[in-house]
Amino acid sequence: MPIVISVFLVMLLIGAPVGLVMVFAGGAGAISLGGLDYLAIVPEKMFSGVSSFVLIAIPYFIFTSELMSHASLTERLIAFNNAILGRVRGGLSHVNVTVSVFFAGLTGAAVTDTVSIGRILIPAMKKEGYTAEYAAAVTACSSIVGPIIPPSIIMVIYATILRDVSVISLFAAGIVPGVLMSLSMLVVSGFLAWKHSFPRHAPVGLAAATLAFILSLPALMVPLVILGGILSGLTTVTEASAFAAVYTLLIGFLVYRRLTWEKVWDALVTTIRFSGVVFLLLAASAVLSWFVVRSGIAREAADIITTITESASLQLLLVIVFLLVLGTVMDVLPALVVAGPVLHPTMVGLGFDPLHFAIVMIVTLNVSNITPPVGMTLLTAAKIAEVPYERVIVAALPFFAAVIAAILLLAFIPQLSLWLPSLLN
Amino acid sequence: MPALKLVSDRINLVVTALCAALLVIMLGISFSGAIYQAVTGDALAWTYSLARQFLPWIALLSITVAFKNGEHVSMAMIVNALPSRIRLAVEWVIVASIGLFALLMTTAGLQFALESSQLVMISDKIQISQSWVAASVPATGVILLVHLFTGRALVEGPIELSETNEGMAPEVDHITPERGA
Repeated sequence: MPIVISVFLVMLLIGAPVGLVMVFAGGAGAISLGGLDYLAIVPEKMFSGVSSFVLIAIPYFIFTSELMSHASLTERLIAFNNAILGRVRGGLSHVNVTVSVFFAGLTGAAVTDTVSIGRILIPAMKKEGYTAEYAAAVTACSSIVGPIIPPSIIMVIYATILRDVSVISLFAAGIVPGVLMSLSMLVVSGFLAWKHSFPRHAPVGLAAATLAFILSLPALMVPLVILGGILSGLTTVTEASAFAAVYTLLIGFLVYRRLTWEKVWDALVTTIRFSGVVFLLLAASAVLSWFVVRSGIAREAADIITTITESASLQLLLVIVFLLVLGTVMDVLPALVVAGPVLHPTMVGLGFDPLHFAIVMIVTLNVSNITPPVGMTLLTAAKIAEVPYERVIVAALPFFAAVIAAILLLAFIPQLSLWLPSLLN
Repeated sequence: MPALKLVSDRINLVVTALCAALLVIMLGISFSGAIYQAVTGDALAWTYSLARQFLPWIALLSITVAFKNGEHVSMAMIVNALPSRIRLAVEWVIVASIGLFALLMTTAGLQFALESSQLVMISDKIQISQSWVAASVPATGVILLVHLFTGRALVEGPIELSETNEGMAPEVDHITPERGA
C-alpha cells in the first residue's frame, strides 16, 4: 500500500497526466498483489473501462455541445431570456444565470457554458456598466450548473465507474439541485443588483417576446428530446444522445443555417480530442478501481471516518470539506475518478443513500470550477473579460457562498435530490 | 528527428480522421437503431452490438490524439513554480512514463488481443472475433510509441526552451475554452 500511495503522490505532484498517475498507481498495486505477471491486468482493465455501452453517449454529448456552440444557439437563448428578465434591475446579470440553466439542459459541460455564454454576455454587461470582474464572476459561477442539470457527462462517468447508481436516476436526481443552485445565485444577483443599482432594460413588447421565444424554440427542444426521452423511458441514454446530436445537426443546417461542413469537422476534431481526455481517465480509473476493490482501501477509509466521528451528519460534512479541498487542486473529472472509487463505497457502507451521496459528491466537486488556484470556469471567464484573475475570485465570493449554502441544503435534506427519482420510479 | 516528428504528425492526422469517421458511422448506426425502434416498436438488436464494437477503438485511439496535443489534464501547479531547468527535467520524466505506458499497452495489450478469441454476436448470422476489437489496445500503444518522437510536446503546456535559457518562469495558460466538463 505505501508503494501505491507513493507512486500516486509523486507522479501527481510532478505534473504527470492524472490518467497516467492512476495507471501507474494501479500497476504498482497489481505488482504488489501478484508480482510483475499481474501487470497484464492493466491493458485488460483499461479496455473494459471504455467498453461499456452507455459510454457511447459521451462522445455524442460532447459532439452535440460542440455543434451547439458552432450553430450559435446561445444567441437565441440569450435573446429569449432577455425578453423576459431584461426589464428587471440587473437584468443581464439574471439573464446570465437563467441562460445557464437552459444551456445546462443542452450541453452538460461547465466550461463550454462559460465560453458560449461569456463571449456574448460579458462584453454586453461591460458595455452596460457592470464591472468586468462581476460580469466574469456571474458567468463563471452560473455555468457550474451545467454538469448538474442533465444531460451531464460527469453523471454518465459516475454511473459507469460506480455501478450501483444508474445514469437515469442521476439525471433525474440532478434537476432539483441544479435549479436550487441557480435560484440561490439569482438571489445573490438580485441582492447585488439592488445594492449596486445595476441597469435595467426597457420592457420588451409581447410581440417581440413571442418572436424571441419562437426563434429559440428549436434550441429549447434539445433538452426535451434528451430528458423527455430518457425520463419517460422511451429512449435509453445512448439513443437520446444520438437523437440530440442528429437533431442539433439538422437545426444547425436547416433552421438556424449557421453550420457549415467545416464547422462540423471542427466539432468532430474537438470531440475526439476531448473524448481522449475523458476516456484516458475512465480507462485508468478502471485499473485503480480494480486495485481499490482488491486491496480493501474503502473499508479502511470507512474505519478512519468512523474513528473520527460516529455522527452521520459530521461524516458527510467531513467528506464535503475534503471534496472542496480536493477541488482546489484538481479539476472535476480527475477528482471524481480518483476519489469516487474510494469515497462512494465508503459512504454507502456507512449507511448513506448511494444516489443522495452521488449528487452531493458531484455538486461539491463541481465547485472546483470556481475555486482558486485552478477554477476552470473562473479562469476562462477572467480571460474573456480581460480582467485579473484575483479580482474575479473576489467578485465570485457571494456566489460561492450561495453555492455552499445550496450544497448544505442538499446534504442535509436528501429528499431534494431523491424526490424526483422516486416520483419517476 | 524532424522526419520522425513528421511521421508522428501524419499518423496523428490519420488517427484523428479515422476516429472522426468511426464516430460518424457509430452515430449513424445508433440513430438508425433508435429510429427503427421508435417507428416499429421493435429493437434492431444488431445496431447495439455493432455500435458497441466501435467504442473501444474510438476511446483508445482518441487517447493518443489527446496525448499528441498535450491535452491530458495534470496537476501542474507545483511543477510550474519550480525553476525552469528542474521543470525541464521533470517534463522528460513524464515523457519517459508515457513511453513506459505505451510499451505496456503494446506488449501486454498484444497478448490480451491474441487471447481475446471469443466470438461477439453482432446478429444471428454475423459474428466477429473479440480480437479485432481488443486489437485497439496494442494499436494505441504503438501509436503512442511513435508520438514519443515529439518529446515534451506530449506534456500539457510544456515549457519553452528559450525560457529555460533565460531562467524565467513561463506564463502558463491553463485555459482550453473549447472543452471542459
